[in-house]
Amino acid sequence: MNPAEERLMELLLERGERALTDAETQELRTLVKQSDGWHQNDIDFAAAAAHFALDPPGETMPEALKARIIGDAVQRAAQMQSGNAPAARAVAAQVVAQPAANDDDQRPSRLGTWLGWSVAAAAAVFAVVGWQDQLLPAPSLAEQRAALVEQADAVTVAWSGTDDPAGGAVKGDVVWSESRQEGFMRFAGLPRNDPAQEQYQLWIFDGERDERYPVDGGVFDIDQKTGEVIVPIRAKVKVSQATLFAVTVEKPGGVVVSTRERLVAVAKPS
Amino acid sequence: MGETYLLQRVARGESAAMQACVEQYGNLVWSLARRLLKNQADAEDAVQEIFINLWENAARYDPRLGKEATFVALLARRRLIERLRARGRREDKHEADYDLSRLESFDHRRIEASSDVRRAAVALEGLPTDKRKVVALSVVEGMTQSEIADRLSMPVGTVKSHLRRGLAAVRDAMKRGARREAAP
Repeated sequence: MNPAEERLMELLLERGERALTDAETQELRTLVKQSDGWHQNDIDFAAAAAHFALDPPGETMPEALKARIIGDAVQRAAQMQSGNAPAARAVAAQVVAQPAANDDDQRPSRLGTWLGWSVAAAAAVFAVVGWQDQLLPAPSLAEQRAALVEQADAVTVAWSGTDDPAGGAVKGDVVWSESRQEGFMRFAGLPRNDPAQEQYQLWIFDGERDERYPVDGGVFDIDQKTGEVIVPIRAKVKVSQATLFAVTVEKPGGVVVSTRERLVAVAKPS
Repeated sequence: MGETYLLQRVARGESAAMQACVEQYGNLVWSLARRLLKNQADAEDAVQEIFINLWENAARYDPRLGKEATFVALLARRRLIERLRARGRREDKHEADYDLSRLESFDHRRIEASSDVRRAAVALEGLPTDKRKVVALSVVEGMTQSEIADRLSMPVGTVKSHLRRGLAAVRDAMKRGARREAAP
């Protein structure tokens, strides 16, 4: 491999581990265009094939899960046939808000959640231009955040730390677009958490809801000791008028109603 | 109708094709999810999400880039690795249980799979065992390069180099094979 290909490989591999910076993303695109026959997804294809070569699939999908997926698929197909299918989502959920219970038989279909998010997500779909750009990686979180900041109704509010041991050094901001029901949190100084012990959870206070029951904005983790972390907001229901963003520390998986014992950051739109 | 066309039918919204897709690739996706996520409930949630993602991206499948099964695996792995990353990544690090000793005598002839995977297996067989281990921990366990360095007591720079060269070898083998297949 020549140095350019080495660098290309390096970026492709880094992309699998973290969100590339905007500069790195641009560099990657340039290197691919200048390369001799490389495609953005070559390494992902190679990794997928290598995975099966090294560890052939041997598990059988649970029948109940298969039935749920097929049920979703049938609904999806009906929507597509009627022309009502939402546009493709740009990004898969990156924050995993786990159900409070793990009763497999009562786990909900994802379709409802997916439909609920589709409006906001459709707005984030990126253009696919030509064969070379097919299946480009989803825009980095930094890119998505930057695009959202440009929205006319986007509000950006700085975090304030608290007296909590985890909240003393918090810096960063939250950007939220009401029309898109989409937002991103940016943190520096929020300590790394052990997801097996506790997780961070965002709460969005809505001026049109009882303040005792803020909207769950998703559970998330901080997995790096230093540097800036960007976390997408996944509000579970529509937020009509965001009046306060608050981050608490909760048990793994998050809670339905927080006791607010450990409040680590707040951001109040003016 | 060959497997190449299944995703094209999915992209047209054919319910039967979607169901066939679940039947054909369900175990594959489930195996990936169980390997990478360990937790059953999390894996189930992820697999549902992966199939939704597959319906949305079916039209993007291009057989020139790889076999359909490899494409499905690519999408699945991407979503699963995103989950790992979003969840603080290695809460289950201690459960990384891929048996590296099986790589000591890796033999591609034992692999019964699509041409993509067979080519990958041949390329992997040609690698030194150290490189093969690095590739395995990366692609099978989803470990980061620094985690692999810790696991194998190897400098991070060496891990990065091994991974680049190892996956480049697999990629080159797949490309060569695809060109031969496409040749008249």
